[in-house]
Amino acid sequence: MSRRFNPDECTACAVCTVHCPVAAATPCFRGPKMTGPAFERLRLFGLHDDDSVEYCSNCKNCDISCPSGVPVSTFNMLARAAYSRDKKIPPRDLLIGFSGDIGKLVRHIPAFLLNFGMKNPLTRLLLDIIGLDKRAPLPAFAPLNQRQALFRNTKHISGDKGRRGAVALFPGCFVSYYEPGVGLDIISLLEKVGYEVIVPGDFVCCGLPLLCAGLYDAARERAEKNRRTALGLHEQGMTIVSPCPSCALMVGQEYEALFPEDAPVSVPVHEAASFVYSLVEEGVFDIAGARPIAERLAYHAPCHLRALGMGRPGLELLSRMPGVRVDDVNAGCCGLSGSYGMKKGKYEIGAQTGSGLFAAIRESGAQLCVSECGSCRTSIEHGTGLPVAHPLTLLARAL
Amino acid sequence: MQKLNDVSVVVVGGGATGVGLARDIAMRGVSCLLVEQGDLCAGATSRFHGLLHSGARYAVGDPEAASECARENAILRRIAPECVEQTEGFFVGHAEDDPAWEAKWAPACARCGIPAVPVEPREALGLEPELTADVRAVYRVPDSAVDGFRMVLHNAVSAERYGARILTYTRLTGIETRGGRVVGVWLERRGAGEKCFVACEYLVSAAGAWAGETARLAGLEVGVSPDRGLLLAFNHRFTERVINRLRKPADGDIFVPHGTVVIYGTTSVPVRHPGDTGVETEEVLRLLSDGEKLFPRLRDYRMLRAFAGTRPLYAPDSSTGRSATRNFVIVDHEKEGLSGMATVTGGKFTSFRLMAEKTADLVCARLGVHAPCRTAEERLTEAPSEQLIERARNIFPADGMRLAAERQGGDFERTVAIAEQARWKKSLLCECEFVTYAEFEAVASQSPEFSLGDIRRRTRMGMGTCQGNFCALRAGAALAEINPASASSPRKTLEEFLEERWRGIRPLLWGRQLREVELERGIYAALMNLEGPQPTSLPARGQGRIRSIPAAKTRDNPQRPAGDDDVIVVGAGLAGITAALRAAHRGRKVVLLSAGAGVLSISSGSIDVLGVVNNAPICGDPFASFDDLAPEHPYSLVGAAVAADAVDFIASRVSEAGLPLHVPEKGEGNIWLPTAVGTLKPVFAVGPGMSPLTAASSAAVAGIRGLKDFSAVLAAKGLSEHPLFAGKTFSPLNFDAPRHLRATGRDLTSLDISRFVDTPAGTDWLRKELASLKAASDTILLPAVLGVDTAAHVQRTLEEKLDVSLVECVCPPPAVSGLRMQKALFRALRKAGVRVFDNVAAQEAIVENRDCRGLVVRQGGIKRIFTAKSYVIATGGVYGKGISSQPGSIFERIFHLPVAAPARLADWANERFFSHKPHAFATLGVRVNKELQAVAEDGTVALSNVHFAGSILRGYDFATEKSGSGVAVATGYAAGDRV
Repeated sequence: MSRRFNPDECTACAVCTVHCPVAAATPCFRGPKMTGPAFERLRLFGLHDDDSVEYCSNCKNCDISCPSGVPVSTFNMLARAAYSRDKKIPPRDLLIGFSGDIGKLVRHIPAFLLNFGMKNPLTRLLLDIIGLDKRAPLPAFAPLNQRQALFRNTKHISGDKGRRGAVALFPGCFVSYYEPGVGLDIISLLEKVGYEVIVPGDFVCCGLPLLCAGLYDAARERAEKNRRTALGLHEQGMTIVSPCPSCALMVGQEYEALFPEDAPVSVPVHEAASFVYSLVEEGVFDIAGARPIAERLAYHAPCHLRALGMGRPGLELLSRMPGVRVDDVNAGCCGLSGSYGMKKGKYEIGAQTGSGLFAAIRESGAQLCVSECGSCRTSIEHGTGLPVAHPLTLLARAL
Repeated sequence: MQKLNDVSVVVVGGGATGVGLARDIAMRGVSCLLVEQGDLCAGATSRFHGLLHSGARYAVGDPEAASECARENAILRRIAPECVEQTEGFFVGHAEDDPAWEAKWAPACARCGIPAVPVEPREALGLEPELTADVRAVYRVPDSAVDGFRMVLHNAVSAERYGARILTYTRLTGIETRGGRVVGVWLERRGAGEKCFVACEYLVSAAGAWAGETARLAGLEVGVSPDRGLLLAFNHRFTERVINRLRKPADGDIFVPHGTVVIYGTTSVPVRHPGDTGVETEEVLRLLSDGEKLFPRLRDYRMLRAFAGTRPLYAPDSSTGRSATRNFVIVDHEKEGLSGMATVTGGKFTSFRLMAEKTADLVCARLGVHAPCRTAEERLTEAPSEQLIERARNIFPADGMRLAAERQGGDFERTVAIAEQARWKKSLLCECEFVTYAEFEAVASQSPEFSLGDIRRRTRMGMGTCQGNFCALRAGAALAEINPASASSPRKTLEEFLEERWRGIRPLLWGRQLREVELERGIYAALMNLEGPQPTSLPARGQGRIRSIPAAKTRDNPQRPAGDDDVIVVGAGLAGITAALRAAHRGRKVVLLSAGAGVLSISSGSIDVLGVVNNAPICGDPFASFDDLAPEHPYSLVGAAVAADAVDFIASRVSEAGLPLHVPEKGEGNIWLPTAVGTLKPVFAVGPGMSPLTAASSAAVAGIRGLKDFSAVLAAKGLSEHPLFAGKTFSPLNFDAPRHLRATGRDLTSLDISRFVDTPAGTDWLRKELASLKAASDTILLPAVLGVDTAAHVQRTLEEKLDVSLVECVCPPPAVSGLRMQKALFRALRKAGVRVFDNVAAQEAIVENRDCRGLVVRQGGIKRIFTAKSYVIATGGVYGKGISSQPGSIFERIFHLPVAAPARLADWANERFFSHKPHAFATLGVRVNKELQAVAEDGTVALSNVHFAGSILRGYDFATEKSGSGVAVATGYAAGDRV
């Protein structure tokens, strides 16, 4: 890994440790400052058998809180990759890391079979044995027709682009396999504004689950592929949009730091709600006519959305819809952090981390919660029992 | 000074040569005493780049020295593997460098027996990706990095085992001769005052650049010309190998990776005095320009320190600089008519063993001793036994163990034994260089006279990223606990250590290193008030009353729809939040953008207004002292009345948000809070756990074993020494950390304890522990552990149950009181309906006709513009990155407003770190008018709808004045009033 990425901005101030949800939940984690920039200096010196980095959930609250702009979590992920390089990856982590590939593999199998296969008590027990905590929420596969509907549009439908141009959707694994409805809602919204939307079949998993599982090389392969695809689409004048904040962050901002040896090609990837909101701000998309969805909404900003550094466009979008009162609960990480909170030994940490958020949502009195991230939605549903939706789903339904 | 036994040989100089010589002589069975005026390695041995030469550098100019280096290099790798990092080296020819030199150099290496193997430049770049692509030729040579400190220390330990005696901080003051022969020396120990005579048969001066001074004591002349070389230490290891420039030896040719750092140098400047090791910023900049040729991103790497050493160039013919030989000489003074004395000087670190051998040969010949030299064969220290490694593995992480084992060599067992006794001592005292409490104690207990500097050299504590910011206090505390009887005051110990660190940092005051310094001032000057004046009197019992601030009663304001915002506030520190709350209070629709969480969460959690003016403490009403401030001071711009309203406003909002604050009653003055170093710090508004100490106070100080950043012994010692508390007792009492937090993966902080205390079980635990102390006093001082979210409740409950007052001391980061304040302020923002977007970094502004039309945010190739009618910029100073500082270019970041600064970098800072007057760099900032609009020097308004608040403003130094949060609140409030 390149040394271009260095720990020099860190002043050792400890603000990241104060804001780290994992450090707050367990004394086993040395904390982001230590495992990140402090250890990085030792790793450059050839020392790297600190296993504390296993505790990092990659939620990125360290990056968000750092007064010095240090990408602390990226150090941690690279350290985990280095730490895992010569070690055997446990089956649990392989399962999580390659969940995208698995989803693709079973794309023709009906949901009831998959979900029965995954969620029946016997499977949960087996999964528990390999290290997926049986108490943890698992997302459910979406109906077969929805999954197939999303990938209907792999090529240009019409010969010419939409009147506003063309959008290539990077759906991400969660939306592809568990919530294709969100992708379909986004497609319908964008088509309404005059975009032609395609869902390129060449996109693969963004690589984040692989990276978190310590499978650096596999993640890098995915990154290569996505980068090439994204570049091709970009050169054709298409805008790339993803409903998943984590995928947008990974593909749009993190590849460069994580895989610096590969040709640095930066292709902008828009987080979907932020893209739609920019259309509203520009006056291109008028949502004043949206039917009031008269509920009180609680909005949770996913950590990776905050890490994108663009504010909370989904929240702003909702706040502009007539008849909506939306509360930014602003109570920190949901604790699941992708698949972190599913792991045995981490479930308790995740549950404790999320408890503050769940309480705040319950106290808000909202009947419906909104969040951009699929993993957060799964977690909040599990933690509060409330339904949770993507903001663009609400918008699509209201128009 | 105690009586010393007569010896055969006295060696003067505790550098590599002297210590190596002492070992060599002792190994030959000759009694030997080594004296050194400072600590071991205090001279050039610790002030070189740590290169174990392969000899290649000297192959052309000095083949004899080159072959010598090659031989010695191999020997040192063999006898001291724990001191040598076998990195190998590259000689890199830059495209600009003269190819004729390479043509001479490669064959010369071959002649000297130095393997110099050509490497394909492409391959070299693959191995060292930070190197320039402008490479003409690369050769691989057997250079290595060597730890000079460690080599000398291990030599010293070995010498002592062979019976040599080593006295540091002992100066040679006279040489006694009789009949043309040396019969003894006069010595003076530091602080002892009296001199002591030691009879000897032979005297060797290995005083390096001080050899001339030493010889003069015997009326002799030794032609040593001190030659200064500048070195720069970088924060991270950007090269794996020693990198030499393949050209005729010149300045800035050598980069040596050294543990966690890289050392780069050097220069060659003749100086008058060997102690002349000052560094000018301009010299640093010149060296960087040279180095950029090989490492184009060199200026992007953070420098930790600049330091200089003086080479002892032997130049009887008064040749200087690079023309003088790097060879060593042994001057037998018998030729000048004085027998029994020799001077060994010149040379280089790589050949220190050989210098010692040759000198010892001469000495032994004169003494009639025939034992041969064995230093080339016998290892310096034995590798730790399997058994010891197994014991260590049970306690330390593997990497930490390896570092400590290498540093401590034969003494490693002591470190392990200490940690076995008390497992919490596996915690890191120095987190940057991985030094545990156990290792620190193992070294500190070797001598009751060790200063923090002496321990630093033996452990590397304080030599990493933070340069002592976080470990100084811990080290001072640990030292006080190990040597409780030591007479030195904690304040002095810390000051001395930090001043020494400052010497190396001062020439580098820009960018990242300046930020680190601002953090250091935040901790030691502002939080700990280590240097500032202390109050001359405290309120008597019954006075110094404080009143609670009534909580505001505002209604919940839901966030309003996005769009058509009135105000954008940039910065979520105290100034930005105050501005946002004030503007929202006035009915404005407000968005708050923040990039990073600022330092609020690690601040004191109190509001200071003004604690010191003109180096005098303010014990009375701080607002009344605003008249003494300069007209451009932010307080002078907003006025005392507004500042007082501002403190009231923010305090009432914080109290409403569940964190009850107190301020002095009308007519009472500043509140002086006890700190973790036992000083008092002036503040105005205080939160739970913070109470003024009165003149009547005497207290128990409760500490928690294993809790870093607070030591009951240190705080108690500091307070007991405080003139205000003469005759009062502060007794330190310790208890154990809660079981589940003991010796876990993470070292214990007050934040961990506080989070536990927030739970009912934790409150109960703290109550029991405090009760079990059976403190005889009515007050217990303790670290900030009364909880994060429930501190007021915990304090009330425990005080009632224990019938005692609980006072938290101000602690360094990550302390809890700042986090309490931050959380309350964010609750207040939510209540006020302010929309808060974190991690949004406004990078530039759209300005038309002096009107800001929007702030631009760019991330991953996507742009977003945030617009409002008015803007408040509270992005902070240098630390908050509101202000960018590079040599010759200092400006406000978003609008690129110029910031006036002294032309010479040397004028940026005072000579001393703790200097009782503002540092120039600290007062730099944006010039504003009374409306807090940026103005040019002639008063022209630069931006009509933009107001500035907080530490981005010029004209005050938060650390010396103790005014940081007060200025933030006052100017934030004033800005919120103007939008």
